[in-house]
Amino acid sequence: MSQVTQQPIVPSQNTTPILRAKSVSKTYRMGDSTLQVLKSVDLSVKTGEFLAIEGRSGSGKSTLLHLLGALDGADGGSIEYNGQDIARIPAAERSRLRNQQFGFVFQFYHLLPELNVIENTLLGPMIEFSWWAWRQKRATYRERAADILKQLGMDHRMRHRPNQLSGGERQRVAIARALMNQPKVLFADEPTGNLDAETGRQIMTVLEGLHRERGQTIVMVTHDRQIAHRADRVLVLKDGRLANAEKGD
Amino acid sequence: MNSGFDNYVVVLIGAIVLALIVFGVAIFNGRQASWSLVLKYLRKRRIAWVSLVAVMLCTTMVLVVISIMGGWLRMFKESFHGLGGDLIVDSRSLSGFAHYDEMIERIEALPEVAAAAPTIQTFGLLKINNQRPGAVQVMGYQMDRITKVNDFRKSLYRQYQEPVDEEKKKPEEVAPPSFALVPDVDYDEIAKFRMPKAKNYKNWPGMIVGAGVVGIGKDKTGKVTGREGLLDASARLEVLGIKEDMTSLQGATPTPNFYWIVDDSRTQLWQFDAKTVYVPFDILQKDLGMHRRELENPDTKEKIVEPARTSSINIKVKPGTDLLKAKEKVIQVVAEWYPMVLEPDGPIGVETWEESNATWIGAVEKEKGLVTFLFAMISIVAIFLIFCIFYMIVVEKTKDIGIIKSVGSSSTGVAGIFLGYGLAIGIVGSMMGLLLGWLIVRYINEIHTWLGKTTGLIIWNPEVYAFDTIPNTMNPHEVFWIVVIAIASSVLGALVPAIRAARMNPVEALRWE
Repeated sequence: MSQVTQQPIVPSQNTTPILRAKSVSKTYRMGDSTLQVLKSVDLSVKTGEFLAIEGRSGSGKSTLLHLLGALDGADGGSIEYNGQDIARIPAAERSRLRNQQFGFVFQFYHLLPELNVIENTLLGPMIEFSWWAWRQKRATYRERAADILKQLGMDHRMRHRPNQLSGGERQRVAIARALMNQPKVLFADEPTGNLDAETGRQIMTVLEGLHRERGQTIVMVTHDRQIAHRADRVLVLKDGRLANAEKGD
Repeated sequence: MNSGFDNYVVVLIGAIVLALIVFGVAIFNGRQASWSLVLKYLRKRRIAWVSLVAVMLCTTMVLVVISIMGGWLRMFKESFHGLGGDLIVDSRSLSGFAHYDEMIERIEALPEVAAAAPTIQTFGLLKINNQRPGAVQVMGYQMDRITKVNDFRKSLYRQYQEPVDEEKKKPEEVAPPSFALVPDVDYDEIAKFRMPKAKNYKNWPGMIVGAGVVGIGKDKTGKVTGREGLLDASARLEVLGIKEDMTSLQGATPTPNFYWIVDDSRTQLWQFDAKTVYVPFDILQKDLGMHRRELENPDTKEKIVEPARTSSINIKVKPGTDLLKAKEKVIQVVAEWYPMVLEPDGPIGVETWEESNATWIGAVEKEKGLVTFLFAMISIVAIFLIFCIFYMIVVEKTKDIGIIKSVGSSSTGVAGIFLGYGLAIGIVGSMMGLLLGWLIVRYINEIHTWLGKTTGLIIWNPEVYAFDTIPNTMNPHEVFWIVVIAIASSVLGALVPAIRAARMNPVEALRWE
């Protein structure tokens, strides 16, 4: 499989934190009882960094990823993106942030079943532009989408629907969709969790390539220690708190 | 049908322009992803087709009902207007009022008035040939004058409809109508065969009968029947003169008169056509004792002149005249002889054609309102159906909503997908409904005739609905609003599910199983 080799979007050696979580807590209410999944989590992600957060199933790692990606709100503490508190940004601006600055890759791919591969890939810009504006930009974006899909080895499947693809192919389409708007941060939630070992390795090769070639900032959560240790830095989420993990741990 | 055709063109252009405006506004503001998904859902979610059919059927149903009821009301108004003229000076007693000739002279001198004619309206007992007698309404017309005031001429079969509609003559080529005997009929032969003792029959005046009086009507196939032998028929009409000071029928003398039937009238108002005969004004006036009489006071031997009387004066105003303004001027003229015309419930009054027929028109208007209300209630069921279907779709698409939000769609954008979906269903459904409704309304009489032929089912009974044809035109104004309401209802049905979708937490939506 070839690598995605677009222009680097940030200098890979930049040490400025792009994302910072300060004393973040999150509690879920389950009937009469409450479950605190995150307890005063502090975290800093530098631009161009590939960070993995490792944790057992139900440890709250996906919750943390959702909070960092502005998909959900924290109960306590704050999350800053480029120094700006995400909670203080208006809802419409937060949506734009997810559309323009962030990209998401999920364990279960989350592709829209009615759209084919190229349409799923183009979802971000299609959400960004009105029908009229899209008329002018469609050709450029289709070209870009086709290019990304080609680099991910999916150019022969562009007219296929998600239910006609294998798990690995679906995940590659999800990656293509996440990369479409050239995000500053790519969030990956158990990207290999639903794939066999070989396909999982291929997906990780893609993510590593993105980080290495483009300087793509990646925040990945996984329960798989081996997968986690392919990142630059690994943190372990346990009992609602983050701790550093040594490579080879 | 030309004006009807024009209506359809206006309706279609209006509806298309409306749809384009709504669609255009939505397109310029809506996100491309929303429209892509709306079109995909519309094509691939078959459950949405149920909403589409519901909107289509409701639009068709309301269109057909309102068009037929509205057309019925319009026909009622046109027929009443055509039969009565624009204004009517009406006596509210059977004895009528005098000085009508002087009044007409003054009324016709008004700049607003085109023509005026006296008419007598009474009741009588009619016996045609040797059939059993029956009660009828009797109208006394001065034919040369009444044809300048109302459309009575157009209702005559022999003297207008046959030459114009069947022989394709131009109306101006057709001789003016009259009560004169029919030239082609051999009255001597008929009298010799049927009434050997009859004398003076060649001087009997002509009578025009309402089509329903002599059983002329349409059969199940829509063919006019019952006109055979009509012009050979004679009639005996007995009327009862009523004087102003009479409080009962005792002392009233019935006056019989013999007539030849010279034509039949089809005003399309069944209550007229089934029960009315038309005779020369002067003859009816004399039979009722309403003509000018010179009497002598038995005590003083003084000569008293009793002026001629009429029941009413029908007036036609010039085109573009303000009817209420003209009415005021006519009241002033009548008041010179009858100051009580200024009183609201005086024995003589001046009314516009709408006021004069307010009871009938009001009843039809109320019926139209009631039926429209009932069908609007049924349409609410369609809105509820759309609501239920959309709610199901939102539940089914919960995960998709999470995906769309995670890729950066705002809550407004998500709501836009479902509102756009409702809008698309509204536009497509109402356009399909408009087409189906138009086809049904346009061919309603053909459908009715076909139903009559094949099943014997007659839904449109002229005795109930006053007209023997079902109205088959659409009112562009009404159609416009029905389409607007259908589209708005579809969006309304999608509103609550759209709000629910918009307010969904993306993480919860993504975890939805």
